[in-house]
Amino acid sequence: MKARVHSVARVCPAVLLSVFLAGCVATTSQHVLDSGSGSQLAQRNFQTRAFETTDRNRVLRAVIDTLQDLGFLIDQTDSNLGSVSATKWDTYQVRMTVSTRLRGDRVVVRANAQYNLRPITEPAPYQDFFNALSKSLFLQAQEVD
Amino acid sequence: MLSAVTVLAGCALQVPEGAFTVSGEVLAQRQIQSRRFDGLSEEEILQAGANVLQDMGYNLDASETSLGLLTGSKERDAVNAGEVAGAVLVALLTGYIPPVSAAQKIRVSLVVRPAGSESVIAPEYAGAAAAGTTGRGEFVVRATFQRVVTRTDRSTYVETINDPAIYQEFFDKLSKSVFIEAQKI
Repeated sequence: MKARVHSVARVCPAVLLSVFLAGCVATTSQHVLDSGSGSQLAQRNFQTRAFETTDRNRVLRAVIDTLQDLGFLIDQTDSNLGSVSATKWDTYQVRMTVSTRLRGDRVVVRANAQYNLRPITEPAPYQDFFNALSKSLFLQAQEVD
Repeated sequence: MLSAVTVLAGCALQVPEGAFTVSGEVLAQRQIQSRRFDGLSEEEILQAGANVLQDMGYNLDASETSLGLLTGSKERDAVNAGEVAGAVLVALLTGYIPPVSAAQKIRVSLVVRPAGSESVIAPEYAGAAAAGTTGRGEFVVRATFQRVVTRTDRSTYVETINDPAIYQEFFDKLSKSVFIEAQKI
């Protein structure tokens, strides 16, 4: 009996710690779809902006230019899909994918990024990115509903 | 316990302010990373660029002519005599052998764009815009080098290479290659 109490006492902190950590990283496979966070609509909203132009190529080149100005290395692009992926290696790592598509008379730009091992889910970094892109394009970044 | 704290801290870490803003430092970096080329088409510059990258032992990972992009990488030794000497000294004094750089993967992206294409961030490039990828004109080439270094204890660190001398040498090579391309030798 005493031995059992002893082993429980030894296991308990480990269990506690793992629960503690579980709260942080969830289960690893949960990240495959990352569908846990309820605010996907809000997230899509601040990850998306529209620009009043029909020249998607111009927008794509401005995206590449902006990413380079922000210290990213361009990994790959696809002009058919209108996408650009880039990586920033500083004291941290940021990976970002930007996709563009023509909708009516505007080009809609969608961005998503990860910072080290987590997705960037706060609006500020995306706002900064769209501000820089907006300056590069000479166009206002419009919200998309 | 310390490692648990580190793990949790890593979890809560915020994106540093300025990670997505254009600062003065960024502008200086752009000047180091960019050069202007005149009298060739975008495609010719890309071909010259691909040649230079191959000369330097890079393998091409991705390319897209219509957007003026080339990306390449290579893996190389990263052993540095000075660093090893320092590690030996530390080992002799303390008995602890510190990890040293062992291998590195170097990546490069090269982007060609027409000079003067709409960018307020780059007013110094406000020259004549060139048309299409085969039209000749003025272009700006921007290269970015990054590397990930693996140490002897398998830990890694990443960095963007900011040494102006490296970019200068790269653009010297590119200029020669562009010249050869222009002369069709």
